[in-house]
Amino acid sequence: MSRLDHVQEVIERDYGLIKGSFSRNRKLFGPRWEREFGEMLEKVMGDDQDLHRCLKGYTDFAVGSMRLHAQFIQDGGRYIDKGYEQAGDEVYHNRDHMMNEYLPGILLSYFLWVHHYRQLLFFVDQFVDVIARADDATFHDVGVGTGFNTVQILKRVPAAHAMGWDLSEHSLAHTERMARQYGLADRCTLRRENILTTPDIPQRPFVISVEVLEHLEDPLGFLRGLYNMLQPGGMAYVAAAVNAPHVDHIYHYRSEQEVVDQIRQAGFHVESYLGANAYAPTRRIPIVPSLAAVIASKRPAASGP
Amino acid sequence: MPLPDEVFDVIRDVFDDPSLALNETTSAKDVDGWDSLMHINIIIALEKHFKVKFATAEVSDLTNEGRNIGSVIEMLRKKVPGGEP
Repeated sequence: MSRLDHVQEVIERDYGLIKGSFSRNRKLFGPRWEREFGEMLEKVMGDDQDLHRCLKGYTDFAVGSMRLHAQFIQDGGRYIDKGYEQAGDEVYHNRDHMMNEYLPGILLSYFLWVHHYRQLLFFVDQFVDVIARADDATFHDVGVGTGFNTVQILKRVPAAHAMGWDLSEHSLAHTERMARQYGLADRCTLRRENILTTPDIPQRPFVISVEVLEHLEDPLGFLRGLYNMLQPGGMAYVAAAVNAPHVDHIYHYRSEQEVVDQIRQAGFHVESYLGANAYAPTRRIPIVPSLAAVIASKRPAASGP
Repeated sequence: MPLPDEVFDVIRDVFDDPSLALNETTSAKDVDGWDSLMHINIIIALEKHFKVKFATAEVSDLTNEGRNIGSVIEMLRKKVPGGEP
């Protein structure tokens, strides 16, 4: 029995809340989803103790998110007022929460949430493919989170080398472990530093930052920081959650267009973007979580006369 | 109103279908559109209506094989003051 089939059996027996998402996405996305998810389950959740910890974490994460969304609708579509420091104490620097709920929850959501999987397809097909054809395949991943996106590049592009940044030691530990589990750790350098206060960061031809903006008080300032890390002529991939209340989402994007506009405002040229809803709106839930994923470039410096 | 009838009404309201046929043996697989998202919406609506709270483990447990609306009512009886007969 494959790891994927085993996990489906475990979910159907013990995690009723997940079984619908699992079977729906397996049917909707087919062999590619099965191959990618199966690989991650083997490498990252290879023993059943880890698997149960992650499935329980995902359940807590998903139920918590849906409860917050219900509150969000009740409050007229507004996030709870919170600053970065408070979110950091509650989430990023809380080891138990990060390792047992938050990071496993996000990791599994890449395959169990329709909009997250659509974003992954967009990322791989439209952006990683460009890195694979580049002469210089070095990149910055700013806000590595689980490490999932860095791994997606490194495993597909043998010449790639990542410099991953995060302020959470637990995110960096999770990324380091995940890179090791995929046998990619030798091409992944990690730094626990703020890109806005670190001097002399070398520019790279590629920069990614996936679902980080909504965690910040000043996402425009952060985007300008990303712009400075990108070589002229380079490409960036930036994604953000829209109308998606979470315990650590403090900047509220009300539309996908707001994200796109802010990326332009930071100086980028927007090449293409994807907008994806988590599910269809209903009478009870007229505003649904979605995301905007943007591929943007930094125009080469004008050449002299 | 008896507790089961109140529960049926809350669920019908979530589905926006006043004529939805429900009884204590009805389970999620008997009702079109009763997926995990709808399940959470039902739980949240029940919490609001009865002013109670379900733990995440309880929310999850109610989706397991063999669980039905009767299981929800049984759990609610333990939470609602005067709910147990």
